[in-house]
Amino acid sequence: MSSKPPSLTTHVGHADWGDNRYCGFSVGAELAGTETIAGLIALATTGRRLAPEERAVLDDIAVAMTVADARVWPLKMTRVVSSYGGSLAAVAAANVCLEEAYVGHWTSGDAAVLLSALRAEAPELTVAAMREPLDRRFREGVRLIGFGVPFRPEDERVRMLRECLVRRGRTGLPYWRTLEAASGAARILRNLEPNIGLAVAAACLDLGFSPRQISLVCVALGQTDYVANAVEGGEQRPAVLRRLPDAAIEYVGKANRISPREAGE
Amino acid sequence: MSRRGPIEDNEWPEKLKSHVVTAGAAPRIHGYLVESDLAKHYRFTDTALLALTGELPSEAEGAAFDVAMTFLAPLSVAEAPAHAAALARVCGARSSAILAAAAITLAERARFIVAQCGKLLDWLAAPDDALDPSIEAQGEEDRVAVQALRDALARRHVDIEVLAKPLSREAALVATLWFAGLRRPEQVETALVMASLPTVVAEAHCHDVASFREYPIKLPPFEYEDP
Repeated sequence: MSSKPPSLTTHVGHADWGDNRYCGFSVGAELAGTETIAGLIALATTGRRLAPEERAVLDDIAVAMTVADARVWPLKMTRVVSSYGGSLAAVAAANVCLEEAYVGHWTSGDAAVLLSALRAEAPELTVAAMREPLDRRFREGVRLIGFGVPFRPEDERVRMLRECLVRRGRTGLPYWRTLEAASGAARILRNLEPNIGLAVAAACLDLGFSPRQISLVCVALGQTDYVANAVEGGEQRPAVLRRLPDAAIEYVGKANRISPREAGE
Repeated sequence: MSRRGPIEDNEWPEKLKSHVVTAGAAPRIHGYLVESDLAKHYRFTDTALLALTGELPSEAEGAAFDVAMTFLAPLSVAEAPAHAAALARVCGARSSAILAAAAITLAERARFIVAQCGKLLDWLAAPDDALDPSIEAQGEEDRVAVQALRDALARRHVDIEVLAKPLSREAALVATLWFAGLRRPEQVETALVMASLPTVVAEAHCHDVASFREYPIKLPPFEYEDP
C-alpha cells in the first residue's frame, strides 16, 4: 500500500498571501465591496456568479419564504436543543435534519424535479396540458412535493414571492409559467394549492439551478429562521423545554412487566 | 389582543406520546423497571438491545451483541469520525461539540455502511449460497477477522450459522447484530454509532486543545484550481 495519500482537487478556496481565492475569484480584488451574501451562496452552491438582478431574486426568495414561528417543527428543534444554552448546536441539529426531510427548505429541490418533469411532459405550459401528467401522478399515488398547503387555504409565501417576481418581470419565464399552469390543473383536479417549495423551485429553475443546487441554496438562504430561534432560545434557556412536565407526556408503550430473571429470583 | 394564525386556529394534540421510556420517577424501559429490575439482572448491552428491539435478549443474543459491539468499538484517527472529533478538539471546541461532531460523523459512516449492506439485510432474512460480491470476504484480512469473531462467539457459546460463509468482516458483524435481533437499518446504524463513540471521543481528547501547529494541515494534500 502506498504511503503517500492521493491529492484532492478543490475549486472552493485557497488562502493566498495577502488575498484569498473563492470559487475562482479574488476576494480582495473581485468580491469585497461588490458581492453580496446571496451572491456568495450562489457561488458556493452553483459555482456561478450571478448578475445583480439574479441575486435580487435570491434575496426575494430568502425574505418571502421566512416563517420563523418557533412552533414549526424544524424550528422547534432549535428551541429544544438551545434550551441548554448552545445556539450553534441548535442550528447544527436543525440543519442536519433538513436533508431529504419532508418539511423544510430541502424540499424545494424535490419540487424542482417535479416541475422539470411537468415542463418536459406538457411543454405547452397550459392548465389543460398539465391535467393529464398531474392526474396520472395522482392516480398512481405519487406524493407531489410542492403541492398542498397545511392548515390554511393557500400559502401566503407563494403570493409574496409572486408579487416580487411580477415587479422584476420574471413571471413570464418558463418554470414560473409551468408552476402557474400546474397549479391551475392541481386546483381543478384535487383542489390543491402550490406551496412555497414549488414556488422557490420555479424561481430557481428559471435562474438555471439544478434541483440539488436548489435544495442547497434554499437551506443556505433559510438560515435566518434557525439562527433567530437558536439565538433567542439560547438566551432564554427555558426549563420547560429541557424537561416537559410529566403530565404533558402520554405513555403508549408496552405495559408494565417483570423480567424473567427478576421473576425467577 | 394576541396574534392568531393557523397554529392557534387548528386542533393539535395536547400531549407528546412516549413509546419506550416512562416519564417521571421509577423509570421503565419497554415496561421493565430500570432501577429495581434491569440494573440488578442485566448488562448495559442487554438494556440497549431491549431499547432497540422492544424485548430482552436471550443469553445467546445478548452475548452476540456484546461481542459484535466490542469488535466494532475501535476506530483509529485515520477514520473520518475520529479525525473529525480530533479536529474539533484541535479547534478548541467544547467537549459537547466534540461529541456532537463525533456522533454526526459516526452516524454518516453508519448510514454509508448500512446502505452498502442493504443486500446483506435482505439476504440474512433468507440466506442461500449465492453471496452478493458486496458482502463477500475480500482477502485474508477478512477471513482472519471473521474467524476471530467466530472464536470469540464460540467462547460465549454462540454459533451463528451464516458466519461459516465467506463474508467480509463488516458483513459478518452486521450478520451478528442481525442474530442479536437488530433487523432494521436504523437499528444497525444505532449500534454502529454506539459501539465506536467512546474510542472516537477518547482519541479526540488525547489531542491538545488549540494545537494548530501539531496538526498535519496538508494531510491529505488539497490542490486548488480555479473552476
